[in-house]
Amino acid sequence: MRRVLLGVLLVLLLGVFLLWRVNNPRVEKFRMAVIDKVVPRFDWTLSPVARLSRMFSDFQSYTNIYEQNRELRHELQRLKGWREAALQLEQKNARLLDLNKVRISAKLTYVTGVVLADSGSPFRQSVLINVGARDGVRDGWATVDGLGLVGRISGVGQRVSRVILLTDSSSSIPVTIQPSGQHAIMVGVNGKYPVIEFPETPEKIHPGDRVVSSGDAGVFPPDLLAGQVVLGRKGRFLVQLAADYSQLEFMRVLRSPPAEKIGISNQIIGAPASPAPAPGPAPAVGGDGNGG
Amino acid sequence: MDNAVRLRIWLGRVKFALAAAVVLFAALVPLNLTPQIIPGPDLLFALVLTVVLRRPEFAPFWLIAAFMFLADILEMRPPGLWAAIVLVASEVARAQEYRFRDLSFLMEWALVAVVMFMANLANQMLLTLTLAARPDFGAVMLHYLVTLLAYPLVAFICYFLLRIRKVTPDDAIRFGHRL
Repeated sequence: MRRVLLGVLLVLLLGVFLLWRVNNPRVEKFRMAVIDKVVPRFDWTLSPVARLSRMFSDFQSYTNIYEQNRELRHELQRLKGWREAALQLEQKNARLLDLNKVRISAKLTYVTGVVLADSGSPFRQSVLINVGARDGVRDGWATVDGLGLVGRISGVGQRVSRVILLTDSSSSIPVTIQPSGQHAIMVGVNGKYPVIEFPETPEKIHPGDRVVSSGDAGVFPPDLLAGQVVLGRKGRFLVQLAADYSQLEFMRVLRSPPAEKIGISNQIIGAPASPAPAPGPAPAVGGDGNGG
Repeated sequence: MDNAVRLRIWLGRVKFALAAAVVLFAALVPLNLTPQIIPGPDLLFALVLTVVLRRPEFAPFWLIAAFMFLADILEMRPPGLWAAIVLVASEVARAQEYRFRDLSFLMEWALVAVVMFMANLANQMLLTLTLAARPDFGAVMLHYLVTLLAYPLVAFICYFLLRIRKVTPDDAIRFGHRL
């Protein structure tokens, strides 16, 4: 009896795996539904534990508060200089924008979510946040912390959604490298620094350049700061992310306009929907665009 | 089997289930989201093997399957595969349990090393066979080594905190174990 049950269970588990291979979206939807049921229920344990251990590490930092204070003074001195520069640039920018009559995109509104849980696996870089379909979150939207891009929504439940971080090995984002304006892809490698792949002319990229999302292919809204270029080993260009991944507590989910839906494929290819009964009228039907 | 024994078995199962739940949700606490160079251990797998090699009746196969499947779902692994592999691994360990009652911990550790290695190998092979995305082999080996190093710690906690200890000859008669 035990053997039979064990066998049935094994077949069942492997069956789910095979189903996942064959019909991935359906099983992933099931996965998200399970997470949606389970994780919010344990929220009361997850966040206090995280907060406690953060308090503990904050407490540890009190020990070297003197050195920190001195460093901060130095930094403050330098930042004052920067502040002056920034103010001047801001005024200049405002004047130029006024001259140009530029309007900043009003489409970028956001929902703020609290980080509930991380992936729990060393091979996956993702987090669960406590906003979901009931807050209007959709797959594919960008998330940012105060400074820079964090990741993109992939998997939405009723109350939670999963954010694939830029460091995950399945994350690849079209980016522009400023000031040279190079287009490239930023690929996560499950390490701290994502890699810049396929730059047009690598010679024009320098360490310290800013990496922003390019908005190509409608993956992300354009011009969201991702980070800075740093030089890795073997001359590879890496990205030091602007978002502070070591203390992500909250993140903003940017409402993006819905990506263009590819509805009826034959309208794009241009072939008529129904086989034309006679060759004569076919071009006329295709011409006005609603031949199907 | 009298009622007292049955109660002890169910208490043991509750202890195992609680420990597994703690391990499972501890992994989800969002402390630091920068990718670590050294991957954390698979504590759930270590816990399963520890308990199976001490009191197999406390970790029935259905409980192991349920927890591993939930872990697959939560940790974004291919659902079902790792659960099935751990289930087979735990059955292998379960069949060997009676041989290790009188042997030293080092021998047990060696068995665990072999079982865990085979499990990881099977996982990689099945993922490759089904053309699924699989993690980098080097990273998996590092993960395996870290899990193996964490095993004595899990065994220690099992012994002192959970008080799940190896079967003594006296227990073996009362609980109806294979001698």
